[in-house]
Amino acid sequence: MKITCVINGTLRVLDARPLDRLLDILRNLGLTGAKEGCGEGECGACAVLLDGELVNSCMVPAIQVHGRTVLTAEGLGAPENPDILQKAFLEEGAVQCGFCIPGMVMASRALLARIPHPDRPAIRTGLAGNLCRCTGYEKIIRAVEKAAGMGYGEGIPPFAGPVCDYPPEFSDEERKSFFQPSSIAEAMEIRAEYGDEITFLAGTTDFFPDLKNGKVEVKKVLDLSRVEELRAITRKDGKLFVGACASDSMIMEHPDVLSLFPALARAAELSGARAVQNRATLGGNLASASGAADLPVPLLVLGASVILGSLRGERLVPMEEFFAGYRQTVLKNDEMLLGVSLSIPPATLRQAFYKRGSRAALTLSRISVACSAVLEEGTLKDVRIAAGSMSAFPVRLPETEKSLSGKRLSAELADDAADSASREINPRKSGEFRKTVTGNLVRKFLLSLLQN
Amino acid sequence: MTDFSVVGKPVLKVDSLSLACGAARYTADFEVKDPFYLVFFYSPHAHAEILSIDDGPARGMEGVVDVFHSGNTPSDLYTTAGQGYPEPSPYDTALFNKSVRYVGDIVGAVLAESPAAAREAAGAVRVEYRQLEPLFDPEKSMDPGVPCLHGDGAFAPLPVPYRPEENVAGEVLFSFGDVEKGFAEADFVEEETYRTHYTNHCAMEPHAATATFDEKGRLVIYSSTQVPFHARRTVSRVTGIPAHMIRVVKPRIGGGFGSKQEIILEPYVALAAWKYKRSVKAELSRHEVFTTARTRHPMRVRIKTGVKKDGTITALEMNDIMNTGAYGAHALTVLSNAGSKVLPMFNKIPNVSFTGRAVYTTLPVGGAYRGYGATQGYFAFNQHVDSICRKLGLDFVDYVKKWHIREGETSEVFKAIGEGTEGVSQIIKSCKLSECLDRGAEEIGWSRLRGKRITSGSWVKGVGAAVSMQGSGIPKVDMGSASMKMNDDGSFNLYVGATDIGTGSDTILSQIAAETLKVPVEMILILSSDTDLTPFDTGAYASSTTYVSGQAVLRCAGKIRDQILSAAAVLMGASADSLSLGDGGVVVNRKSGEEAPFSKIACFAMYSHDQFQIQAGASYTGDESPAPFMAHFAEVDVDLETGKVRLVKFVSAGDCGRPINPVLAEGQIEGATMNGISYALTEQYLFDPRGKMTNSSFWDYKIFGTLDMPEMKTILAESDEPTGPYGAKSISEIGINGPAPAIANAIFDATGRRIYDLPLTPEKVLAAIKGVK
Ligand SMILES: Cc1cc2nc3c(=O)[nH]c(=O)nc-3n(C[C@H](O)[C@H](O)[C@H](O)COP(=O)(O)OP(=O)(O)OC[C@H]3O[C@@H](n4cnc5c(N)ncnc54)[C@H](O)[C@@H]3O)c2cc1C
Ligand code: FES
Ligand code: FES
Repeated sequence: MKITCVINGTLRVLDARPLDRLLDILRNLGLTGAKEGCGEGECGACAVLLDGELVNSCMVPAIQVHGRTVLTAEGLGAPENPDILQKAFLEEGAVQCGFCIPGMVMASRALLARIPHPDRPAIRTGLAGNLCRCTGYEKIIRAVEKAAGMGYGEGIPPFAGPVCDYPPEFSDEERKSFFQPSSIAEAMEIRAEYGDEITFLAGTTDFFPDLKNGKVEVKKVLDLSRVEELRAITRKDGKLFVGACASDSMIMEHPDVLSLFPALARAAELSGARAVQNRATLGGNLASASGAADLPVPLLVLGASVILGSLRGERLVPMEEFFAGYRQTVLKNDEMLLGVSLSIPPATLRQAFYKRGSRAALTLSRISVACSAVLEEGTLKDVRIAAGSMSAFPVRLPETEKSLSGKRLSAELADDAADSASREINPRKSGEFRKTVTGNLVRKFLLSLLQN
Repeated sequence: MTDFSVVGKPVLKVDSLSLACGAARYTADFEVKDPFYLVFFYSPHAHAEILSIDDGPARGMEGVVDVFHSGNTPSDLYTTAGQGYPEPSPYDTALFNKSVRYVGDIVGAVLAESPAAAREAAGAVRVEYRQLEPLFDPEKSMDPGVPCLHGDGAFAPLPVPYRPEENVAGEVLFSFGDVEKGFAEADFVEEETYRTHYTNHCAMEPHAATATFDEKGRLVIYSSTQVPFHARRTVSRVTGIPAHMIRVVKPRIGGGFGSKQEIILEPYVALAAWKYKRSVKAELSRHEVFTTARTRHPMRVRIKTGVKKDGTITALEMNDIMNTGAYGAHALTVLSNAGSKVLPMFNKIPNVSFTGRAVYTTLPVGGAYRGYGATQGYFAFNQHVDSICRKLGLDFVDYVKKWHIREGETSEVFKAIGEGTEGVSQIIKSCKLSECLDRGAEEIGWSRLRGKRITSGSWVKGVGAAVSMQGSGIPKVDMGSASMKMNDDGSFNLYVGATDIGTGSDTILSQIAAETLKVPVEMILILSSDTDLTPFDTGAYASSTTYVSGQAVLRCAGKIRDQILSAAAVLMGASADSLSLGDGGVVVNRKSGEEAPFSKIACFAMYSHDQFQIQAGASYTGDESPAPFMAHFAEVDVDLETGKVRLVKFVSAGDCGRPINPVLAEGQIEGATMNGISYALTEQYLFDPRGKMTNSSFWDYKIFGTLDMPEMKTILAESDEPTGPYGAKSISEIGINGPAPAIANAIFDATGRRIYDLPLTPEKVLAAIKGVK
């Protein structure tokens, strides 16, 4: 295919295969600043800016680069005329072997564009997806502080909009298997025609690792990146609708999600790190049906329904009924995920999402728990508890919920609930540990209700 | 103290900008014309004999050039360890082994026109195996009746203990005094067993090598290597290509930490390129780095001490079993470092015995890894000392300050063990460990927090400490050299064999030269590690670069200075001893005040009179290996409900002599420390029952990121090492030794429970503290 894009300020028309990785495209152009440290989204050595947002270029397909603007470390400055940020890295002694540094620089820029004067925790969060084995990070953080102090963030121009409005040019062969619709209706038609042969591309953060590990066989590809409607988050008639292609970043920053469904916002915030969050979508997270997926856990306690669409019409499936087994959902082979619908809860609903992984960021949940409840004059109502990462897919804990509803909340009750939750889950691995921790998290939620 | 103008200053790292701008090139960034690509295929079994390899279908596939395997390549044995020659590691590895000994052992390689074609064909080669009994438990490796893993002619090129028939890849035994007598004199005997785990270096750049040809038909290998000269020697040995036809060039390296002190890819790309006279590229994926390249040797360390009520240790016995995995790379030397770098710390113990065995198993291969055995030994040593202090009610910091080795003292251990052979005795000439302990304790709030168990909800606070020492190169073994010439503008080309793998050694060596010649660092044009252009150096390992290569540069620059002065004497019509170097590249006549700039002197020497090139070369081998010292302090909060350990603050206080570049020295400490922290808490290889690693990605193998890091404080306690260049000692490895024991000791402080096995996961902590609340 032919794609048109701007790379480091230069308009380019490139020949590529639709699933070529942006990383390889850049490197083949001699832009070797972006490096491959893992090829799976976990190290950030390949990080670049796509339309001003941080992405891991090892997980962006050529088909989604068309019409967009790419910025790499080479685009910021050269050794003869480095930009402020690159100089700050030098001056703070933040560069050792340098392999991670172009990615670090891009992640820092993306951060400073959003938050020109970040505090330390914000810097650490902004760089959480970039691994460095040499420096211990301290000097890198100081370099970002230095550049911020020099007003680097304020000087970053806002994203200027798409490069072109025409679609990419596919070869005749490609036209038979690659589809890039711009509306839901069009997408549903393609889905109806090819059924099970279709692989959807949303943020491709599950797709690329699966492809690499031979877990997907690509026959027909339906890219959703141009379907604007799917990215919407809207509030209407007592419901909040979150589109299938809403990204984790959009979800965690949307004011309605933050105020009405903080547990969902929190789950998005704890998923991956910035470069992944900018790409990873709600639809992909649900459709992948991974046992360790984070978003379904709060959705289970928030009473969400999944909206599935096909040419036959739309249907609403309660979150509890969406997963059908290990990596399986009830999605029919002519359907696609349109989004989820959430009833706006009473202001008294308290909710929380907790996640424990082996590391603070970019970590697969080993244990995740979501809880919601209303506390009315000391008595618990509408208690819902869900746990993820234990079995093939996240589940509610009905026994524990029942043992709490209608009860007066006390520290003893919280202890009983912790015991009950540990008994109710059935982890496949590290049983004792996961049981204990799940119970503790349930207790933690209940005690937090007691506190105010 | 002398005043320096360049040394001791935070000079900006010479290659930083090109790195930050993405312009600097690493091995995989080099474009060569129409390369072939080499992709490997591996054993799925932990132990098997290869019965047959059918490469027919693969050869028939589009784009496939060749398939290499044991049936069609040389089978000479060698070691992949990049060490001095002859190596202290056994020759037990062939390019393609006929018996495979771990899941991930290289079985063959496909050469093709594209990586994709090579990968596809690699999957099409059919290999028939006869599975053999695996051997996963190193503590059973020497038992009768277990399979012998290297019965096929493996041998040690040096006269060192090597008994493949018993699965012993290396053995280190020494003792002095009489330990039994010592134990008898003790008031009590403390004995504990510790275990450290398999981990990976995780240099961000995966191993890569490219072989190509120059216009004369010589083979040029670009490689992500820490040891270009050893790589050339070994490639020549295993492929039969004459060494003079090989040039190894080290471009920028994306970190090594020991992983690239191993000659893994170079012989394969060389063999394939030589055969087809075409460029050949090979790159490992992250998965391959985990499963097929090198690891940190796991170790079981048993320590037994006899202790008197006043804390005097009357005897110490250390008994180590080290798992070297399928092959013996660095086995003997890593093992000996677990004793030689650890036991001198308490040099007043009169009766000491060390028994160490490195044994083969059918698991991944150990190798050099920052810390090099000392890390494993210190995990045990520091916890053991903490146990003794707890028993006696003594303070750890006070206790260590009382007993540690100091300036003017020696240890019998130095003489007893070196790198697998006898060592070199030496007297410690600089040691600021007590200062490190005091300043570190102050910074962490030792007296305020130690033993206080401050709680908040289910969290309990504890603090712990650890100390360690390392070396600066291997005495009488490691050699570094430098050559230099002066240009007509008064700048200098400095050629060093030393290998900058991201550590900043190019900068530090330039600083040493600049200081000696009193010029700004910009006037030193450094070129490092190219077997054609630079003189020999053993490579970037054993904490040798600053001390050993630095001395070579210092000497070389000194010779240049003398030549400059004698040329200036003629030019200025003065006697050489009335002249000296002034700041900024001038020679000054101390009597008349007259000055001549370097450019004028260089031109004079080149063009005017008795013409000659101002140039020199120098080599250096250390007679001793002065030890850097470090104290580490950890403040942790332990969640009694989940076993989670939250590292709140970490302090590293180190004595590396005079830091040639304090910012780079701090960076070395910070990086090593962070690596040590994540080694302690999250990193580990997980295996399935058949010996296959199940977490070979950054997804499942967790190294620390920015959100995991504690508050970090780094303190440099400067000393002046009289044998070091401008007073410097090494710094790059030592920082990794302390975190694991310091954190384990802090966990004990918080919970009263000791964790004997790494890593310190929440599961283990929870199991240990059950019921402690
Ligand atoms: C480094 C890294 C860290 C991660 N961390 C986390 C984490 O902490 N928590 C977590 O939950 N996940 C995590 N993930 C997994 C992944 O990011 C999420 O599951 C993400 O939400 C997937 O969305 P996507 O848009 O990238 O999906 P894609 O990869 O584009 O698609 C995934 C699957 O969903 C299908 N699909 C996508 N959209 C639709 C649709 N509208 N209708 C029907 N089918 C569809 C596709 O066909 C495909 O099979 C991580 C991934 C990476 C690489
Ligand atoms: S290469 Fe590691 S995130 Fe892309
Ligand atoms: S500087 Fe080497 S990985 Fe960051």
